[in-house]
Amino acid sequence: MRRSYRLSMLGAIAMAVASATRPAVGQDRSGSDLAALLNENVVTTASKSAETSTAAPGLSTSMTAEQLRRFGIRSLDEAIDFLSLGVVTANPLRDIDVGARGVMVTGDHGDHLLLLVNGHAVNEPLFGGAQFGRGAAIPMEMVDHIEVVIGPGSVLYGSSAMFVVINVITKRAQEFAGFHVLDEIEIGKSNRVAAGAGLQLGRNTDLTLQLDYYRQDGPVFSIGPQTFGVDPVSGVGTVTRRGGKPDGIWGGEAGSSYYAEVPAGHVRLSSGNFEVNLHASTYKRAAPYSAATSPYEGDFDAPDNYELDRSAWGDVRYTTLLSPVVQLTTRLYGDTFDSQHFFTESAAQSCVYGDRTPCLYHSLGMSRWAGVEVQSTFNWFANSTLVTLVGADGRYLGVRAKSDVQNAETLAYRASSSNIIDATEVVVGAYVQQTWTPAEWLVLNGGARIDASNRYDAVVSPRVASNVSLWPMGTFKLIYAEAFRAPSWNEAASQTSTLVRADDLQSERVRSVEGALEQKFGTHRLVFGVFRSWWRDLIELHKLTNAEYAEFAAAGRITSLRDFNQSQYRNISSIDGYGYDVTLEGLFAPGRLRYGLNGTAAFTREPDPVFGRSHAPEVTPQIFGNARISYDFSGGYPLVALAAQYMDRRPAARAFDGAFAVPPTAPAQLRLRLTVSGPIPILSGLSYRASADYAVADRAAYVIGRTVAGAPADLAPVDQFRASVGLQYDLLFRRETSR
Amino acid sequence: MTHRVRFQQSTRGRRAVLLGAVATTLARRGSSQSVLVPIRLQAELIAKVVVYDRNFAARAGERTKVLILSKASDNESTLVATEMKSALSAVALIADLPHDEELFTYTDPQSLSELCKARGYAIIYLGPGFTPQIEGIREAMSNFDLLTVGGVAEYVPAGIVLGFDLVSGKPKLLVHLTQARKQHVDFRAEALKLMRIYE
Repeated sequence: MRRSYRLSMLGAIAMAVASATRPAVGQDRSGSDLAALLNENVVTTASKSAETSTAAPGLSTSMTAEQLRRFGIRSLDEAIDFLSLGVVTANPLRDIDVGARGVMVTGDHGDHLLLLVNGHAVNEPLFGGAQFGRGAAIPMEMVDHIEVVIGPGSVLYGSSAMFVVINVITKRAQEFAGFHVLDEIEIGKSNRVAAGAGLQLGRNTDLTLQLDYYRQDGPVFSIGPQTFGVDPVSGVGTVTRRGGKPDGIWGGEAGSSYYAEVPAGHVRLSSGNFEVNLHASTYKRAAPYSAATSPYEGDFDAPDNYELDRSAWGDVRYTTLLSPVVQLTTRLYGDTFDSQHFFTESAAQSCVYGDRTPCLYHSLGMSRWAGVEVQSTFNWFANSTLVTLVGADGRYLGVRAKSDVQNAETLAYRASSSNIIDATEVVVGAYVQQTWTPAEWLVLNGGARIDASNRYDAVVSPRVASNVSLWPMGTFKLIYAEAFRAPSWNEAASQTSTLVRADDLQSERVRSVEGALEQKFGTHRLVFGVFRSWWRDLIELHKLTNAEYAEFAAAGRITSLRDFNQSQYRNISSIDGYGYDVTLEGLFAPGRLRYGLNGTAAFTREPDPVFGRSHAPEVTPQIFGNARISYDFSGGYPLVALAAQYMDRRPAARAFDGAFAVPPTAPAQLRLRLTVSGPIPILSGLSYRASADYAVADRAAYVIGRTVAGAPADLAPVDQFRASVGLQYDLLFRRETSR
Repeated sequence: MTHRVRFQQSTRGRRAVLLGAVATTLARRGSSQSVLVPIRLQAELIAKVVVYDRNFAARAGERTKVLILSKASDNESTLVATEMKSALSAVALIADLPHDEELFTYTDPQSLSELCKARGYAIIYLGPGFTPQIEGIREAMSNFDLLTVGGVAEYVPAGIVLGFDLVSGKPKLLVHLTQARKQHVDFRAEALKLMRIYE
């Protein structure tokens, strides 16, 4: 009842605001018709070609550099939460989880969505994932705009494009002209310094670059306390801190274990038909609890329990028109990524090596890959009515991983390395897309991509879409698409003391059909879309039954017979979902007053044999959205912007793992952000930005620590109040007169 | 003289919708000399913005004549010119007037001047590839009553009256006011406040 009421309200609000906006009729010379055209979004991600978002074969959000600055956006996850349609993030105080339309796979390293930076796929093959928080190391001042295309996108991009494809497009030198330095402080928590430049190096060559350094310490969270009780190995209370007492108490003030450090740099060089992108970053982080998806906790508040990712990539693109009909793009790329995890455990039961010194668990994974993509566009009649896109992408990759246990005091190795992966893979993909505009009011788009590897069966990902415009300023889109995610090497090849290596793991699949109605009213735009999706063969950890355990043990496939809690990755899960998306956005008073509203309501269910019945996926809200409004007073006065994000009540991670009589849920969350920005008159080029965030709920949808039968779940804390202030100095400007 | 001129009547009554703004520009981010705004969208913007030129109606007369320049042996220039002709043909009216579009392969400023004198164009559109010739074209057109439009943003600071750029995924209009005065283009304030202005 409550759900249907909220669904109705969401739609009603959007419709009411839309009806309140007066349509602009005719050429009244007020500028509104021109402003409406200039407010069109031009996107390139949905079909790998420049087109208006109205014409794109997908529902997309375009977040502009101006919006990012206006609303104090500092990272990708903030941009998604405050500005995007249909996508939502969750923060477990470590790697950000991202979901869309009622589906989120907690702890998936972001491998169900594809992150592109200037068209370069960032997702790495070891975990299949990418970072979406500060760890993404995106230099936000250098971002021109971010395109978010919701729905399956494997037709052009291959693996991982299941939820959404996010393409971060950086500025040209002209838009980033001069030199820029900034310092942004989140009071008592973090500091970011950055320096960048946009330089025109001759008529055909421009260079943009930015170096960033971000450091976060805190806030201090109060965790637990939880009673871990007696350690069955030592026979006394569990030791939960390095050098701590055997009191069996885990938790307290976590003042040393919530930090992050991200140095990063990005360079983009464009010269004639060439474009080169180079990116490098490291991401070191620690969180006051171990893992959002498992009950195994290491030492509490240990600063040495951390993860470190290092990545670097390069991409060289050459585009040329061979004739007025044929365009050829060739792209060479290479990436390197490695990840280390350091984890100290002082509890005797977690370190059974004959002494009482703590164990340091150290896992290392790395991947390297390089490839070439060749793409050709045939604009058959040189007027874009019939365009064929064909492309092929081939990459060679290598992955290596291992896990070690060391004496935390002496660093001596306590056992031979385990979980060793040392493999190579060849992945090839070929795609074709046909766009046909038989009439001014109709655009048809159809295509398919086939991906094959020596590791899994070939996968075909089709998409058909039609855009129909039978009335003024209105468009109806109908889209059917499929996508897949290849199993990551971590899922396919890992083998530990509690994990049996997977058998013949295959790709996850999703099918989706959606319809969307877009109507413009002058400078206002309303989108209403409905969707239905089916997720199959989702990879999940399966806990072995007794019979399976016996079978694997007899076959010698269980590494350690000491542990009876054995699991294996399998294609066992599925999710069905449907719902709707609403967007309303626009501007008044020639761009001074801007507003936007995005809302999504979904009804998704996954069968769960362990829990005994179907339930909504963990962590992801079924109703969520954001709203924003800003006013530019100009004339030296501040620009004031207010953004809000809402997430409905949602089940916590681990809610359905059988440990709770009543699955724990996180309360509905409302986040507010007020941002004020503007120039500082005392020095030309100097500007400020200050923002304050407040989150109403103090708990997130993640269970922390151990689960004790009958005890309520302890949910991860939320950093409720944040305030930041930043100064930026821009030296050199463009030549135009500012009006 | 190797230039060629082709004439074609526009098709009246076609639906002027934005739906057709499909892939027409190179799908790269492009340097400053690339055409970044989809051609269909440029055509829509041209049709809208000339309404705000106080002198346009007098200049165009009963029928808007548009000349689209391309460069020989330049594939992108040829493609963009063809695309623009097709896109403008799909626009029902330009400033409430029927319109004709003609393609012209540019050779030199003098030939262009002679053609303009003979044909009385209201709008000249330049596709990519003209950067080295912009100065000559600007000087040649300074004595004409017409609107020069560049598909490449870089043309405007060099003296083309109106141009297009793409910033943050949104189209921008650029205008060179000094050159606009020379060519008797007089945009209303309602339009100018939406433009990036060069002088």
